[in-house]
Amino acid sequence: MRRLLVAGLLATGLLTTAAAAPAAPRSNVPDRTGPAGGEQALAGVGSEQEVELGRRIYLQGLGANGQPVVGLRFGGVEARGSEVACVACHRRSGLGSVEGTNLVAPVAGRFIFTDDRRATASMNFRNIKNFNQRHEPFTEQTFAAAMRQGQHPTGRELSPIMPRFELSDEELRGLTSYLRTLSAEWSPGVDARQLRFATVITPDVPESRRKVFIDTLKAAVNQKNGNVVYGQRTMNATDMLFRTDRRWELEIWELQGAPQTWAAQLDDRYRQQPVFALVSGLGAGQWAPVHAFCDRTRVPCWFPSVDAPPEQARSDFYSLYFSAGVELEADVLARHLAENRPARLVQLHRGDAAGLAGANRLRAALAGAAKGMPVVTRQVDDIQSGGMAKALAGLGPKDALMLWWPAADMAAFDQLPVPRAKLYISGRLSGAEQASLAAGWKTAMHMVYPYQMPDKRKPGLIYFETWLKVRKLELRDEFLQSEVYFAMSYLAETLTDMIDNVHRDYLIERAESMLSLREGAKAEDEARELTVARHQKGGMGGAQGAMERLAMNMPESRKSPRPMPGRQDQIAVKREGTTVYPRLGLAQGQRFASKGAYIVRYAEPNATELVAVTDWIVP
Amino acid sequence: MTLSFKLRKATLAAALSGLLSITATASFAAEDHSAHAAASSGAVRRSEATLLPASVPVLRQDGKRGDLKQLLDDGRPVMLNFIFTSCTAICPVTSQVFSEVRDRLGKQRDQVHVVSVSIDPEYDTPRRLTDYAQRFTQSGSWSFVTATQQDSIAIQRSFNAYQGDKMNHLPVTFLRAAPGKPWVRLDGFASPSVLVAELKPMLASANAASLKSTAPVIGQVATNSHAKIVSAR
Repeated sequence: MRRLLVAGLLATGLLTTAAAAPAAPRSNVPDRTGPAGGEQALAGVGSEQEVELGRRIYLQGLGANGQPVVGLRFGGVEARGSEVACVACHRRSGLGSVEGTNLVAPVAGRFIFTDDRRATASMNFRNIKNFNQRHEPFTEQTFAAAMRQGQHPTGRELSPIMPRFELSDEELRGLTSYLRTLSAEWSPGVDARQLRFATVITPDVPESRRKVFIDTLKAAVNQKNGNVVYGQRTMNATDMLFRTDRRWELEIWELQGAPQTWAAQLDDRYRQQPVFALVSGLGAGQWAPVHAFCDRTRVPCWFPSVDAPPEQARSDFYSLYFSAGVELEADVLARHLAENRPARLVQLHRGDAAGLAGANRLRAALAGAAKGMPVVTRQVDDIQSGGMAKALAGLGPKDALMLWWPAADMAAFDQLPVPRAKLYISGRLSGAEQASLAAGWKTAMHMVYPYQMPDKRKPGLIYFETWLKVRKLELRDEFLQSEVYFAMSYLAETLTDMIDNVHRDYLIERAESMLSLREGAKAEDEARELTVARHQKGGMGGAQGAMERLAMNMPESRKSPRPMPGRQDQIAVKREGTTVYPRLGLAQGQRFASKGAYIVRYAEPNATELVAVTDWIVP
Repeated sequence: MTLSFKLRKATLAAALSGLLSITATASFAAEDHSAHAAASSGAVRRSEATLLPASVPVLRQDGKRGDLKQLLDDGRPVMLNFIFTSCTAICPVTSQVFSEVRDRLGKQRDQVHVVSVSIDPEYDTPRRLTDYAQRFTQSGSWSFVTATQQDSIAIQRSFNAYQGDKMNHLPVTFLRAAPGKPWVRLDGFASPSVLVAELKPMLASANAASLKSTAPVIGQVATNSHAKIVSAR
């Protein structure tokens, strides 16, 4: 076991970003060019028309002549069309899913129509490692029996939730052909040894923020590629058996110029060298061109740190975000103002994309939530005292003022008298509790705060903070750095769970179904591992000592059982998250992992301590 | 939370034959047989428990706020499950079964209060619940409710149905004849026939009770005293 582990770690190689070191040779066997069974599955694909018919059945539940397919559920309940489309459970990738104790088997052709026993998918059931069951390949007859009568070739009956379909022979042939094409090849950016990623940074990001971002990101990638595995599950028994752990190559795509030129720059970079996914990422306001690129090119865009995801993010497939950013803040504030109604709302922004997006959303949200409330939106171009006085003119005690104000311009308020209106400010844009507001403003200010309260999130972030120390990184921006850390460690874990099924759709599907589970389990895991390490003797004290002991003893500490969410004896140590957000969760079709915000105020004018004025508001 | 819990580890057929008349059992068997191509529902485990549903604020799909306990204690038999709107494997199936049960109840459909509680409350806003509801019902007698994250967990706990995460959730249905009566819990994929068979006697006893009561005020008092007995136990 230990030798395997060492060999595996060597095989992953040591690599710094963009400077590829030669990978250690693994064996004399030539590198594989695709996933197990892929070629064999593709060899049996029928005509284009057949594949097209199969695609319609699979994705839309529409059979020959465009008629809805009919399926009978248990108890004789009939369902048709999209309600019984295969994609709902077996997903776009055809690699299946897990819900409760219901394991939805992979149906991609290489799993069911080939005899390649290496085709393996992880079917995590409550965090217990579990794999799909291989069986004899389906023949035309046995596939028909499964689809029509729910009869599996092994003799067992298929799950009650699998409908029994009324499908013609022609439709079954179509479906077979389409399934054979599903996840039959690795996605672009993938080979047997390496995964290519890129990170996008938009040009409007301030230099200091850009540097903190890149340093944190590089540390995470180096760690993944390095042979010291601090607290990461970058290798498990599956990797050792299947040798599927891949070296990461990360390019940093720094966009230049105006947003309307970004699409061409992205297409260009992608053409030069396709990447499997865009991971993390940093934007200031405008992000829509990057988002659009991801959906157009079908490249996952994995948890970028951005203030304003575009509107279509709610319905598109390939981009996952921490939250809806300023739009979430606007919705939360609208809900709050509807219940604490001012005579009028005045909102200020600086004309940047994020401020503008927040202001527009708030105006729209108030039109629904607080009908008839006058809303005045002012763009402040001149932040000298004259311009500021004009922006703040006419505010009475019954008015409310909302500031969509960037952290960099906060000094503009320093010398100004504090208006008598009720004051609100965006936490995301102002730098949250670190916002450099003058004392008088602080006293009166309410902040829309889309993060967990600092004292409550502290325990969940100890692991992250210790990671920074071990990687010799300063804590400069808790929000940004912890987002990057989360994005990269969750990517590593998700890829590990994907084994050799390195398909883009599957990456998104795994993230959707595993995120909330992972957050719950991970928070408990980290708490327990740190507790165990703290009680071991020798070496340094404190969290860092514990972390180092943890790293040295990793295989040992892994022996502790995985937590079972909901088990009574583990609820006592339950923490909800490992990030600055109270909890992250997704599900099929959900694209924003955190869904609410508090309204807070400062405890004292000269401190950064916050007090929640409201509960967590979910608009 | 659970004051008495009678658990019968038995397959559905065994449980039913012990609890219902033989004719009733025979009639479902015939019904399920007639749909020979349909999937069998697998093992369904039936148990009875006296549960105290959490008394917490909930928000219905129509935006109305209320208390869950009061919502459930409107005097009608209740059929309840836990769902989330972006769930794709289990929930659409169990919701469709509920819809079919309502169809089969015919004129009696609104005499049963059907309640679906969200276990993904931060995502399941009234608007999303409305969209989801429209996939399965046109009528308002089916309450889809959401709450805060904590309150949703409290509700799940009060039904002994909390699995720690929405992705762990299991198919389970709860039925109750009237406030203060024990809850029937069905673990597994209960078919429409099974649910209708549970509801019919509940409806009969509810109708008998309403015939006996001379004025609604008395009915109200009786309901309250039932609730007291349960909480005093």
